[in-house]
Amino acid sequence: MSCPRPRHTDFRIWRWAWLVGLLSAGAWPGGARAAEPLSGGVHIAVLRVGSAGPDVASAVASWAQELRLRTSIEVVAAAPSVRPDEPALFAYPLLYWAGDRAAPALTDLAVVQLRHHLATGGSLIIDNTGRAEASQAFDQSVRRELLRVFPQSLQRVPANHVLFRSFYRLDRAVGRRADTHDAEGVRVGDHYAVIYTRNDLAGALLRLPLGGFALPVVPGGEAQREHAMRFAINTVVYALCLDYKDDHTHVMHLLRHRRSTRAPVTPVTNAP
Amino acid sequence: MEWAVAFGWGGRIAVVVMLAATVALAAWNVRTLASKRRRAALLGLRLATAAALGLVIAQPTWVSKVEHAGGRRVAVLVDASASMAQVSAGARRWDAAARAVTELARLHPVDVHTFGTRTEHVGALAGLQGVLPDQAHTDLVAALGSLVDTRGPRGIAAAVVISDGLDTEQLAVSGSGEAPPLDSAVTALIERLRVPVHAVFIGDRAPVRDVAVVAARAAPFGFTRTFMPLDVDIEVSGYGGRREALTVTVADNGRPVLTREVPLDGPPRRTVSFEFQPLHVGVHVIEATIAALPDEATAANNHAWAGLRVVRDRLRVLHLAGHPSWDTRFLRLHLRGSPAVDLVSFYVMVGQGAGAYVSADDTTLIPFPNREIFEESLTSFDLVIFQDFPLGPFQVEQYLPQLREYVVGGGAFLVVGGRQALAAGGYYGTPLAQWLPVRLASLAGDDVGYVDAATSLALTPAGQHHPVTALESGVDANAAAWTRRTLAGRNTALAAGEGGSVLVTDQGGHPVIAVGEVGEGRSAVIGTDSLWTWAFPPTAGSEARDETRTHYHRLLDQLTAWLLHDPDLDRVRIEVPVDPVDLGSAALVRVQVRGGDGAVLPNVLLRYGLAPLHEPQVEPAQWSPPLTTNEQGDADLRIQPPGAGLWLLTVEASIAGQPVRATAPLGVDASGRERARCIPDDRALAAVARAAGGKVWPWVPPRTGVPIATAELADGGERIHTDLWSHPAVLTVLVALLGAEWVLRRRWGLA
Repeated sequence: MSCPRPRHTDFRIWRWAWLVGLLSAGAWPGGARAAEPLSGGVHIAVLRVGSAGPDVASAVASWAQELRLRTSIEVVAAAPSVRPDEPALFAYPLLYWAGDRAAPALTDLAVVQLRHHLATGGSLIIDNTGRAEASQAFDQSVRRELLRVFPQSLQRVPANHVLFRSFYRLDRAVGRRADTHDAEGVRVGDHYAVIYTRNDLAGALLRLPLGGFALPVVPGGEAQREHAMRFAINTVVYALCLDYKDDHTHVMHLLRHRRSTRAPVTPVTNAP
Repeated sequence: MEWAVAFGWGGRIAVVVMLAATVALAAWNVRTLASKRRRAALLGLRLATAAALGLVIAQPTWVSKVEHAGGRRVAVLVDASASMAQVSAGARRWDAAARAVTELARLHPVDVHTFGTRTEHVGALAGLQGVLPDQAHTDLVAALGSLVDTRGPRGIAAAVVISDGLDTEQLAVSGSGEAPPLDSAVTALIERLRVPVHAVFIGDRAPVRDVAVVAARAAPFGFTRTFMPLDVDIEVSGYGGRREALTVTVADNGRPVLTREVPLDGPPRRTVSFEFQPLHVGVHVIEATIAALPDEATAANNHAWAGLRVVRDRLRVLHLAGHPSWDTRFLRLHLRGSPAVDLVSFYVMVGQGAGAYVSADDTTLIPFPNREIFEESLTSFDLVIFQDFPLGPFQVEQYLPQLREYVVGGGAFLVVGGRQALAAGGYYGTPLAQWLPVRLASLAGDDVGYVDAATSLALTPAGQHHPVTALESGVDANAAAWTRRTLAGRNTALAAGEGGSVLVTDQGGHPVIAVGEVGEGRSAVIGTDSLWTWAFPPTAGSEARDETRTHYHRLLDQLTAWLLHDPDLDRVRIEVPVDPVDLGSAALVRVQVRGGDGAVLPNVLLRYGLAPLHEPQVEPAQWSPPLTTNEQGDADLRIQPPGAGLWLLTVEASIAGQPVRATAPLGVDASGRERARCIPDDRALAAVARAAGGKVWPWVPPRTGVPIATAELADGGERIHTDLWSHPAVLTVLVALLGAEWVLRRRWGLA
């Protein structure tokens, strides 16, 4: 639905105040820190597997800002970080694993927890943040560890999948780089619980303290950056809404079908 | 009577030729005798011998059709149903039928039966005395079947049906025009009778002023919230040329749901078609009624009932969410987990000020079809969910009257809380607040309508025994399970509402889960947006995680089932007959009592009572003596309704000291279908007579009697074969003739 949210929620006022406060204090993008999950707020929790680099949390905060500006999703700006073998993993259904180098092997407990997390409704977005090109070492680490978590390997997400129209209409999955136009994923049930992009999504989102973007986008420049942002938004909307947009191809049919079965009978007006 | 011989014409000629040759040889043999007397005597003896021999060879048989004592009788079937007690042409139909039987008895030997609900053999005419036309049905096919089974070895000469033709069973004719063709089973039955079936039609078409509901016809089962055809057959007599309109009303378990005006003037027999939408699973008694006209003959036939069992095929859910969240995501996963759910979802996807970044061309956003949903399709949904959904967008507030009508009319409405729901979502002071099971307060001070804080939970006394909150078996285990559950926040400004039941509170006693009845429908509130944390639990232990997930799904399943009046969730379940029972017969009802966990409960004290269905708020006037469930948790009731009509059966079980009630409709028919039609109708009689080679006469049989069977007799035992050649006298005569000829030939000197 495209209508704006209501005016009478105080929460929205708080939201704008939050944004203004961050800008004025130069507090974002800040470092990764733990946060208590809010019942209704959506966190993008950074999955700590080895070293993710200091910029990841800042990129996530920028990502959250874009989500709040463009969608109705109540995203929490602070990016908590969590290890896969921590009990706190289950406080955050949406995980973000970024890396530009080889990642250490997951512990057995981490594998079990991650499997349970993703199998029971969690989502994992993996981002290869190699600067000049996708990090082969990280790529190999990801594929190796995912095979420990799930028996099936990463598969290309079809271009007609709802991921590419969960919010924006997209025809490719690019980031700061556009090495490939595809995204990969691991299906759990009838949805992708893991989305993997090799195009450095975080790099396209990362901002300087004063608000400008930190890294150039190649080869498409700012148009590609906007495309990357849209893909980043689609991934979160997909994690929250799943195949909701697929429903809409059937909604009018369902509504019309119901109408067609009705006969022009007169309801009793004095019925209790 | 007739002859029969052992062989055909060729054999007969051969025998005649042989005998003629024998006689000719004898004549040639006796030519030498001088005496003419002696020649004639020997020739006569030889002729007699040849004749006797021919008799033996031909084996002739004398076939006779012997009528037994009194001959074959005419079977008379007299309609003894309740409609025969009505008056036609100034006389009671039953009396007219008796006169017709008397006339038939004068013309034929008769064997009299009465028929209606059952067929009874009364034998002679005198057997009709004392019989009352009071049977609740007219079943001519069953009567003919009984005749086939009981006619005996001698058979019958014909069958005569004496009736006003108002069959209520297989041969029931509705509408106008010719009677529909007989089905093959009826035709085969008539062929087995092998005699003509005539009819004496008791009645005329003298117009009387009356309107009647002949029948309410619906499929024996239907699906919830799925429109199904309902045909109401009406009969109008004596109102030609009048301009008034008839009001036909359809009620579902005593609640009027549809009405239609039809012109009084028109064909005498008509069918008014409705499309009916049953709302709940279970037995429904559908009653069609015509408002009585001031000058009609009787209003007793102005209504008819049909029984209907309703099941659920699919669950259609309208899910409106104020924004995507984990709570919407996991609720969606839960609903989509069942293949029987048709889920129509609409989420508010963009926030205020997003216009610079969001355009219709770039996104997949669609406008919210509020008119299609709230004005045209709302009643097709079994369940409507507002999840953290504010009333502001989409002008939903203007559709609250439709939403209220939906809920009051039997719909299910669930509000899931959050920062944009309930008091925080602008519900306070709107009509919606009036049918929620909680009372909303206006927000004061710093209260934004929601508090973010870990919240422990507790069951209220109502929640301890409510099926919605039964997460574990046993009261103590269930209460302990709830104390282990926590939430990450809750809606504020809520209090217990009138007519609602708060089932779960936080530790401070603030409502968290509440349910309530709204007219025929139900509503519920879950005052938090963190229930999803049960589906995706933050606890470390896998066992605890699994238990919590199970509780999440069980709570939502049970809440949905309760909102939908799902009988599987009822702790006291009643199975009543779908079709109305006949007055005077006992209604066989099964009651099953289960605990909150679904386990059967033996040795539970029960009582039951009946109250008029049209006044459901009335307590049963009299309760039954107490009885108990058996080891399987069942109790079989034989209920003798106090009178005809629609009743609401209430069964009350005492479960853990708490009275738990369940209700079900019970229809009791006092010859309703018999009395529904007052105009005699000869179409079914004509159809049977036509198929059986018979005729229909009005009022009395013809003076010359009814035609009887003249072809093959009904039974093989009627034909008597008498063998003439095998009689001992024939052999004696043959031997005597041969001996006399031999003696005479020896005496007279012949060889």
